[in-house]
Amino acid sequence: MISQAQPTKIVVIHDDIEQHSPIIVELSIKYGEENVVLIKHSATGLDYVLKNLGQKMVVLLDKNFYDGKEMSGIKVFEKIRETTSLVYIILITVSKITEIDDDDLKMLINKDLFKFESFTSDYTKIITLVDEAAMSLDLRIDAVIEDWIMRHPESARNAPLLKTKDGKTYSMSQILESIRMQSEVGVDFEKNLLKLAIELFSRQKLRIDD
Amino acid sequence: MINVVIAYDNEDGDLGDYFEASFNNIQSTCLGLDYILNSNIPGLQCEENHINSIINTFNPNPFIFIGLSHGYSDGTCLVSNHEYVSANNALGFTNSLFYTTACCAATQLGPNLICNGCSCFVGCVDSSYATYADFYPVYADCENYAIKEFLGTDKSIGDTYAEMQAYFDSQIDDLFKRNEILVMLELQQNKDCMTILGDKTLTRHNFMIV
Repeated sequence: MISQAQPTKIVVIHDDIEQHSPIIVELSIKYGEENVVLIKHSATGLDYVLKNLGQKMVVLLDKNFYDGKEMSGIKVFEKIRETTSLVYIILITVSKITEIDDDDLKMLINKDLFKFESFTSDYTKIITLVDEAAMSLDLRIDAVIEDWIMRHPESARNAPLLKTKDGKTYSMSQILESIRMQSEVGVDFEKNLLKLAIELFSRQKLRIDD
Repeated sequence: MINVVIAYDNEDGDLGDYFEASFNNIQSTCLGLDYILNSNIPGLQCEENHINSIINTFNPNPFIFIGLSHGYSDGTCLVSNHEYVSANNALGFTNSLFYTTACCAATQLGPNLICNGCSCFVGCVDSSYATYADFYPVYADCENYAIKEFLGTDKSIGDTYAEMQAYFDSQIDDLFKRNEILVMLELQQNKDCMTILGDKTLTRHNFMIV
């Protein structure tokens, strides 16, 4: 039996979008109502993302919230990136890119903002970007490994997954954390899985029916 | 006669059983060969002074040294409770064939030994793995293949090393049929990280002493 990959959640963190807005309706039709989450407060949105890291997620994030007391979209992005690089984030704004502070812009690029788009009446552009992000997530080896680890019970995740002959042992949970942070052991695990797949594919002979 | 020294850290808390299984795997070949004279050094005796006292009795005659233990990730030495092969005693391995499965030893220690007159070095340039106890015989069969074939046949170390790469592949393919992806992953890494330095044309006859 082929196991079904878990669906991607589309998390919209925006204070000017309603449940009945065309973009939400369209996303719900495409991804299923249960997979589209609208959150109108930035801190609540950040909290949701951080509590659901085991879930493949594309985040549509508003840059500027009307209420000055709300955390800005850029701050939410930065906070998510402190914990994981696996969530794809699309920043949407009504302002121009030239209005973004230089340091913020550098941080967004260096920490892998997936896309930046103006939020206009033509929401179809944004839907296209969400589709691209969801497809990329399905093809990312780190997302696949994360998905695989999260399907194991908590108890199994603390058992050794790797023992190296320089005396180090890593559990699934440690590998998962390392993958999310893209640090050495997690990146090595991804690299090794890819190398194995490439080797197996390279050795595969083409079978042609007589 | 061929002098073969096997140092194996059977006392290691994490992988002692593995190093012992690996030792037994090689020993099973040696015991059937009447031209092999074994000096076996278990974990508690894996100390530089003890190693030196044995190998100094061979110099300047050629001999074979096999190290089955951890290596430091900086690649400078083989280690049990203490470092037992490092730059300190590199000169003692002049005219030897040095074979080890320890992590990273081919990055620093291997070139160092070759510079000090070691004839040939087979070892790992990166971390190697042995996590799953049920598969210790498979790990050992793969990574000891070249030295066992070398001792038991007239083939050169370069040829048996090449055969070892193919043997790894065949074992990985077998594991694929059994859906043992994690073990395959480790075998692939262990295969990819092995390298051979120095004279690849040596055969067991180059190590025969009257």
